Amino acid sequence: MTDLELTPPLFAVLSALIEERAGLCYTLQDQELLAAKLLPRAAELGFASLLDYYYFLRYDAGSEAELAALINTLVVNETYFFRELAPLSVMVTEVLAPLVRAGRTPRVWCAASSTGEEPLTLSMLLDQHGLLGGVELVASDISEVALAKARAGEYGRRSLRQVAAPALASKWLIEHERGVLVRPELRQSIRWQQLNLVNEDAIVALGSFDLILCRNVLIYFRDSTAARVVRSLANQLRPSGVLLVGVSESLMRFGTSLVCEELAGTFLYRKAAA
Amino acid sequence: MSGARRDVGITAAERGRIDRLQALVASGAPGLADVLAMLIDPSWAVRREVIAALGQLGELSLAALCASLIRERDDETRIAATVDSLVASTGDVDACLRRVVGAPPAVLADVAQILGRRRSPGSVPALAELARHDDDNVAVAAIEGLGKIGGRAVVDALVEAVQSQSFFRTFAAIDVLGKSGDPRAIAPLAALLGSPHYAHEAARSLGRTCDRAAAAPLAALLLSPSDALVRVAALALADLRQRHGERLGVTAPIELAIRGSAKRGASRRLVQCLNDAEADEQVAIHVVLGCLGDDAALPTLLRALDGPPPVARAAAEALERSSGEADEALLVALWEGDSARRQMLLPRTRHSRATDAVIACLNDGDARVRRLACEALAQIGSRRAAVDLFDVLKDGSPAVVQAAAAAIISLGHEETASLARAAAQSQDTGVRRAALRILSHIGIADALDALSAAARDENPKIREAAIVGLSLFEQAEASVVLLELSNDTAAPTRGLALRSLGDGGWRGPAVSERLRLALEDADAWVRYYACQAIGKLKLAGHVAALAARLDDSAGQVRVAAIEALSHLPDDTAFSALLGAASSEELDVRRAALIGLGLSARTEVVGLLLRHVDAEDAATRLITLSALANFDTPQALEALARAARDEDESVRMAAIGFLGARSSLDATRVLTHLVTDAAVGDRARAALAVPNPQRVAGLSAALQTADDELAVLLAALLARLNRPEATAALFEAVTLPNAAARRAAATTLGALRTREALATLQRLSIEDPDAEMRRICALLLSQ
Repeated sequence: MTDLELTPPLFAVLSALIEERAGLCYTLQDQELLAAKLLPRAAELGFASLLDYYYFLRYDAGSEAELAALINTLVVNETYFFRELAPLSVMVTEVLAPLVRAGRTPRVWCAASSTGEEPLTLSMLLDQHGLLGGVELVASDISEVALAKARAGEYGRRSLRQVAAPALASKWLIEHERGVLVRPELRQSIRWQQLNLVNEDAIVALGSFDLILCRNVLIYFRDSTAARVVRSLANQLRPSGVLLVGVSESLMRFGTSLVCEELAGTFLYRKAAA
Repeated sequence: MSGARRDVGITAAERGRIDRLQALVASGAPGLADVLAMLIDPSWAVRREVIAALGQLGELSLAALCASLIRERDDETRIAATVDSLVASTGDVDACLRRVVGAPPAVLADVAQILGRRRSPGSVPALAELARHDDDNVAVAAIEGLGKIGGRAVVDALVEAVQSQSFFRTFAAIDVLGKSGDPRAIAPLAALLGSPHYAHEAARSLGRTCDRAAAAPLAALLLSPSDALVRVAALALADLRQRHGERLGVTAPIELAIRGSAKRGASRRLVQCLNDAEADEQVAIHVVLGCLGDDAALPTLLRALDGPPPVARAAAEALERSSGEADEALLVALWEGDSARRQMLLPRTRHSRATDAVIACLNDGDARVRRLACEALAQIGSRRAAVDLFDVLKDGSPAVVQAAAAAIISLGHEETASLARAAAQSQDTGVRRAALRILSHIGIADALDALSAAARDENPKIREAAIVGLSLFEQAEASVVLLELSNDTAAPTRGLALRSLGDGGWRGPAVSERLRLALEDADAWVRYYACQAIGKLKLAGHVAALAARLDDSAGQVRVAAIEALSHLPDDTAFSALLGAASSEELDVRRAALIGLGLSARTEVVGLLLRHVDAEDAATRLITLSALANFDTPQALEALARAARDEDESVRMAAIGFLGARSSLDATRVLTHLVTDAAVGDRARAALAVPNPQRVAGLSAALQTADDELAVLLAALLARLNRPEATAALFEAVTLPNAAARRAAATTLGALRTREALATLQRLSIEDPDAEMRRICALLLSQ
């Protein structure tokens, strides 16, 4: 007999576990959505109830793989090439270019890069300004599936829904009947890495950065989790380093030590100089 | 949990000033002047604390705040903060402000705002007076204030404002009047529909009245030469229909009223207005087309099935409500439609005439369509479809296969058994699994052999399906097979067999002994399922063995042991649960709390109450579910408090538990929540579920309800749709509480049964309250 109903207590414990392990916050409005993701996985593994599935995730030594697979189905991979292009351009010309001119090799981290369109767009812009070889670019995501897609560089038409820079697109994206393929030299200019933003140790291990992009991700976290993530990111910024979030996001309510600035029409958050 | 401060976003300097504020407040009257000076602190976060503090000081700060409101008018920040402080004050602000006469208009406007935000019914006369003030700002503030207080008492003042011919006052009053819930609002609002200045706003307001009488004047607008006005009318009619459905549980009265009052040409006009319509307008237009039921609109509705999802849904629902030619059109749409259209239509397809069209959908390229088609065939109940469904068992989508199997099981057909046996021999693993599931459910004796053989198949998925299926057989031979499998060399097979023994309900000595031994199995999941099965079979002889599992090395076994002990009515088991309730392991603790709830021993209520304020929401929710088993005042109080928990899941769960309690007190608690912005909807939904004490509880609440609450309570009685609830409505029109009488009369007016109209007729003549007589007469005239 199976009982794969997501009752309120089960929703409470499963959503708490998901939030604990991945930071993703599910509210009551998301109950049906979460159930739709959980039920097929539980059924496929042969569990008769979601409670059994919960205990498997919580206690079984082999649950890490299943948790990773579950998280892969939960994360929202909503990104595309040239999304919110203007702030990226400003980062290249006003933040990174001066550092390169000063003889440094700035380090950049695209946190929660999903299937990779954002860091690849950034790479295109860096190349456009002759900076590609002078910047170290790291891109991370919690989903191995998303990272695999980024490494492979194959995208459907949806990733090109907004071609704000046709010249860049035509230089770096090879069109074919099913979509586009990113040229290998661009993909290889980025170090792709699996990372969970609620894992503070993993973040520390990445080292420090001159620029961190964390755009349109914090909205999936509860405020307390988002504040913790922002603190972790801020800790990894070098003095005067910059954190860039999405154009509709604000860090003000998290009480961050970073200072909000406007630079060429783009709002960013800067760490104090040493 | 609630009340804990979150210092997110407060700087150290702000914290310092807040600490100073608290020290000043603690000093009492001597610190008052300095506290007042902080009303202009540059930080909003600090000002917020100052406002709260001044509010809490009540009478102590009242005179100074009122004086500041009147005399200190040079700083907008101070004025705003003073207004907020007076709104929040625990002192008798209303009495203090009602004495403010002859003050400048700017002050009076603030007074009106404060009185309105405090929502004190006693301020209605003062606000009604201010609504007639020469200064438009004062009058508008007063009108808005009346709107916040609500209730019948404000209607006369609002009607006066609507009829004032003053643009600002009329505009402000239109919005408020629509929300009053009073039938006297309809005529003055309808009178404004001919005015180019007010028509749109009046139409929207009529849509919010939830009153059937609003349908006719709005329907008349559907022939307007102005496309914009037609669209606004459609929005208002759709809103009216939706609100009526939410309030009274039925939309048919509004649909009938629209259909009955709309003139020829209304459908055509609506279709014309689809051009350039916004998305919400398009949805509304299709809703109204559905209400009108004009066959001429069918092509438009069918085309809309290919539109954006909200529009397609509205069109599909409209078609579903229609009949006659619409049925035919729906069939054609199903046959010829693409996947998106079929997805919209299949959930609404229930007629047996659609069987062939739905069967055709089993070959659609989209798996969602194929799954919906399986579900629709189960809904339609046409048994011949079972044969076609067997072909679907080889579908590539597990969800489709599962839906097909479920439909086959529910339909029943003379060939199902033979087809299932044949499918159980398929080379395709998915087909075999589904076939085994079907064989398990249809309960034919010779299926046992097929499942027994499959339970030893080399394919683990086949073994799993067969072992699970064996639990559905009553024959003892099934348990023999399972016992044998419970000794298999493969741990997953052993575990599954034990789980199935538990599910199957066999409690014989062999099963009992096997489960006891399995508690010592080397594999944690085997031990887990052994615990589970012992609990399901309630094998009390294994309490000691289960208790020993509380120290198991595997977490899931520790929890399963607790869950199993929960089902055993034994003192040793109970003691183990008590001990586990203080475990440091969260899941063990939660499982113990649930188990203690199941014990139904009232001595655990105190322990459960200690966990009701746990730091994590999941434990609070689980504790509430345990407490819900106890019919004690303390449990009820805990549920009532939890209905305002900071976590939405906990709030909703608490309200659900309250709704399930068949007690007057539980209904009383819920009635206190129906007007709450955060939980009102959920509380009303809970109250709309009948139980033996529901009607008595709602009737009791009506006796002291104010206008706003009385309207909701009367609507709930109507929504229950039970003879005793209707009887309670008739009784409510005789209550001493005028608000209850008016609300009950209005609701009877909405029901419009012969008895209701006869009662209204009598009351329009005999009721001692003049306003009540007016309302009844008005309801009869509509």
